[in-house]
Amino acid sequence: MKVNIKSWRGVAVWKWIAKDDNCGICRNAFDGCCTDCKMPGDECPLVWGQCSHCFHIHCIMKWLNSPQVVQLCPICRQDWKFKE
Amino acid sequence: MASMQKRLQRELKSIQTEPPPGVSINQNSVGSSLTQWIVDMEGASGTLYEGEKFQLQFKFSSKYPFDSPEVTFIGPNIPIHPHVYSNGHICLSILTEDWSPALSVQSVCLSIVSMLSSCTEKKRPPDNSLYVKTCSKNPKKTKWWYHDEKV
Amino acid sequence: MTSSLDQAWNLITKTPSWFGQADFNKKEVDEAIRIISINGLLQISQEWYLSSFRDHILTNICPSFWAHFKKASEDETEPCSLFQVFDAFKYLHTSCGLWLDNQLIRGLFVNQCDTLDDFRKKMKYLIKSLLFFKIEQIFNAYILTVYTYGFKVSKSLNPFSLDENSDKDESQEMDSSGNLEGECMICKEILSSVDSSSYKDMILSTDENRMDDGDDDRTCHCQFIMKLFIEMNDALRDLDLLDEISGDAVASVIHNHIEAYVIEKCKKSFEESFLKKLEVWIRNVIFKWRRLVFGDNQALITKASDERLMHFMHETYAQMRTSQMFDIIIEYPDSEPALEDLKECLGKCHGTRTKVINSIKDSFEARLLHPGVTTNDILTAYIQTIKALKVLDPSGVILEIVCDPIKKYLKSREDTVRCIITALTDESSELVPELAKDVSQTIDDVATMTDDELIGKNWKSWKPDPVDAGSLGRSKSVRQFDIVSILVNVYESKDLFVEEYQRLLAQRFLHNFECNVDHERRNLELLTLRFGESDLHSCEVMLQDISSSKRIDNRINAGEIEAHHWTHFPIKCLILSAQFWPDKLGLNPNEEANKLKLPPPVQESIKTYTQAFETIKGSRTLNWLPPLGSVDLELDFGSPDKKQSFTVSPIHAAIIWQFQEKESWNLSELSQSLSVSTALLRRKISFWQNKGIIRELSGDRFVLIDNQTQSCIAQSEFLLSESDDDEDYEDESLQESNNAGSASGQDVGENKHKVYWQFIENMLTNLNSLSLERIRSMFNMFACPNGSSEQPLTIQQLRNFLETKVKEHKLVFSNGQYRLA
Repeated sequence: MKVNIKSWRGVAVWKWIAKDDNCGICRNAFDGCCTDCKMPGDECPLVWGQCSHCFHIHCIMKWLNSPQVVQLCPICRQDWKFKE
Repeated sequence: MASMQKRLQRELKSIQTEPPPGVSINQNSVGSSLTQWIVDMEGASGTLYEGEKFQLQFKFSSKYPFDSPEVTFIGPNIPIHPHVYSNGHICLSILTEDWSPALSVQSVCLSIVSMLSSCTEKKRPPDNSLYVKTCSKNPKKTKWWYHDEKV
Repeated sequence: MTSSLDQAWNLITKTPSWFGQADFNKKEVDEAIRIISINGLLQISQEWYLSSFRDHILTNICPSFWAHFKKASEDETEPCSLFQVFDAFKYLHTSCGLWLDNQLIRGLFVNQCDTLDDFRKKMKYLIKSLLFFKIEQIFNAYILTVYTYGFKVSKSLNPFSLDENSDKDESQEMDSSGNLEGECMICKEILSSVDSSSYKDMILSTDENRMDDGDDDRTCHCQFIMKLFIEMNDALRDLDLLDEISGDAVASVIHNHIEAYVIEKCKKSFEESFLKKLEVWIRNVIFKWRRLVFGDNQALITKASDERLMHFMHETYAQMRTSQMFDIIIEYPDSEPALEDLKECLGKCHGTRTKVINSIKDSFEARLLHPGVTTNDILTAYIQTIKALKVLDPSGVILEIVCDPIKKYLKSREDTVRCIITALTDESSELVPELAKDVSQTIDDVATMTDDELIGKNWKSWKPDPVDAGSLGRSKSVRQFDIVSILVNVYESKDLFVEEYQRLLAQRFLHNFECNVDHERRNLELLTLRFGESDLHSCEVMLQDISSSKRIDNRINAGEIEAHHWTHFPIKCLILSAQFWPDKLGLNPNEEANKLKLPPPVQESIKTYTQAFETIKGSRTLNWLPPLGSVDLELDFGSPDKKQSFTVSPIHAAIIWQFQEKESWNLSELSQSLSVSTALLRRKISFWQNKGIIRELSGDRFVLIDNQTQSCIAQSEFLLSESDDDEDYEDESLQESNNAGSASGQDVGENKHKVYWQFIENMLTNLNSLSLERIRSMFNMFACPNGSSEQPLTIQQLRNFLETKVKEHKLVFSNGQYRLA
């Protein structure tokens, strides 16, 4: 007997390739979205800093835009620079 | 407002399910808007504050976690500590200029516990009486001059 | 002087015995009265007259009158008594008439008209009290017979049809019970047993007259009977006896007739409004007949008595409809006219509301809320009830009272939420337009609104609550007819519904990759209007996932990504946002089931697919969930006519894949190589056993069935193997098309057997497990209630039946209880 597979319909979940599961700022899952977004993924992407920490882009932007003297990574307190 | 509540909701849930040692949330104090919490705290064993009970009050603005919470000791027992004024105000840099949105109620509590635990002599800050007379009600309005970085 | 007075007195006291004889001397009487009057004896004479009348009644009239009834007393039901009654009253009227009016009495009261009238009243009162001081039961029965026939005859003569335009057809139709092919059955019935010769003669003589007149209808004597009937009523009225003698009989004839008419006319149809017609009928038929009996301008015919009859008709109608409430509800909207009628009665007849409520509650209890009814049927009835009662009682109070038991009952069933959600979102469901109805408020809004707020909005149309609303103790605002809200509120919480909807949606998408997203999106939009956005956020993301999966799938399969090209077979992928899909679907890649090892070419393909995904979506990757999805495959047994195609779940595919490598596998061996637990494997492998592809030899060893013997073994194997009942894969169950019940019980007919099984299946779905005795008692109570044509099952019959089902693996029997396998 020989089995010929004609077509395969599978199911998968997508994941951000990141060290943590949750955003350090909003505490929501990376695979979810920040507190202001509705749709995860394309509409609420992650960004990485040069310190290798990552956040929902909307979360880190809110932090960087809040009135403060220096722009630091919320986790390691190094100067925040976006990873190219 | 909504995003602040969502985050606090998460924090509340996690602190309820896995409270850090010596810290517990006073459930009745947490209103539906979540803007104010009271945390019960016990002095860690083997420290100067062993057996003592304190209460910490957290007030959150709508900008939380991008804005730090207002944290003070309240109630009958204000710990006698070089960084804690007798009106309950705490001189702790993470509560003002060193605040980061990655911090949380839990991490603030842990910092305060560790601040108390590392104390070697129970005494009020040197400028206590002057400060208490002149300060604003909100400790965040004080321009702190941090006494030392070690404690 | 004395002697002339003597003479006069003698003459007068003799007079009564002359009544009726033509030859007494008028002059002499007048003279005698004059003498008595002169002597001031007029009053004494009057008293004497009354006392003689009294004596006459007792000694003569009374025995003769009652003698009319003696003859027939042996058989009370004989209709010939009709004529005896006519006779009796004719006699009474004539014999009393002689006393009531004659020269003597007029002389005694000359110039005293008022007093004479009073005197006659006294006399009539004497008749009444002496003759009828005690009325025999049998006499009343005769009277009732007279009026019953009196009514029938009037009807057959049809003197009522004057302005009965719309009812004309019906009254003729109604008469057909009396008139059969031109021959009048009523008078025939009345006359059949007449042996009273005088009447026969009279009848015959009228017949002859009629023949002379050339009347076609020779056989009908109704006209004649009618004449006697009217005469009798006139006589009774004349003697002031009509109400005394006939009042009850007339009322009871009329009441019986109204009841019969209402039931005959209206019982069968809910689709027509009857009240107005019935009112016309009462006026045209009943009121007219009453006037025929009682005459006009009588104290007996008052406005109030007419109103009472009208009210009685409303009550009768309401009572009948009340007892039919369940069917009326089920037949809504066809039954709307009946509901409108009943609604009118509710306003008119006190106590009907309570009766309606009890009737609905009782019939729900008896016909709906028991284990033999499917949840869907209960829901359908519930929805019908909501719609129907909205018509009957716009205040919503009745609805709320009667539906309380339904709500409680639905709550106790596990599949209720699913049934409701399915009904709401199934394209073919009648509830879909309900969902689409414009709702200005979400469920929460309405629930939290106060009465004042609601009234404030529509104060002009505000109506006070009916009195029975008080018992509900709930705010008016909660009572409403929005079907979707009512259904959702069965659980008093929308969370459960949202959760179930999410689960259902997930199942739909996972089972059918080609699912119509637009349709689901429309549903979701409608549900969002009801439930609010935040609760359905997850579902929104789920729909988004489906759409974007398709987009990505197309891009990858179009070969857009160069590194990716297909060597094996087309692969499609549903890419989910794990955070937003229900937890219980096995979406966690760390779960045991997700360790399933897929066939190597599949693994290779999904790896390539993942790489392509990573290329498209930088910084993101895919975690595959091997057991989810479906596979089209073909088993090739070497020759073209030995190819079989299947659509199966990945685990089935993985299993059969192993068998091309090696035709015989040990269960534990197979479990290891597929990374699947033996228990799950055994369950899944049975699918291939059912197909006759794999066979269990013994001791956990499975072999591929050799293609030569395949077909014949498939047959026998099929009946013995367990069916794969894993509900996660509809595809299988569709294909398996298991011929259920191929070996059915022999003492139960094939059709009945299906009905029995459906009932038992429902019962066990709802009650989990039951003993033989419980099944039998519930079965006989609901499936074959007393009086139904179904024979109750004996214990033995039922046991045999259930045993067959156990053999078919449909039931499991353990600890004396049966449950579904």
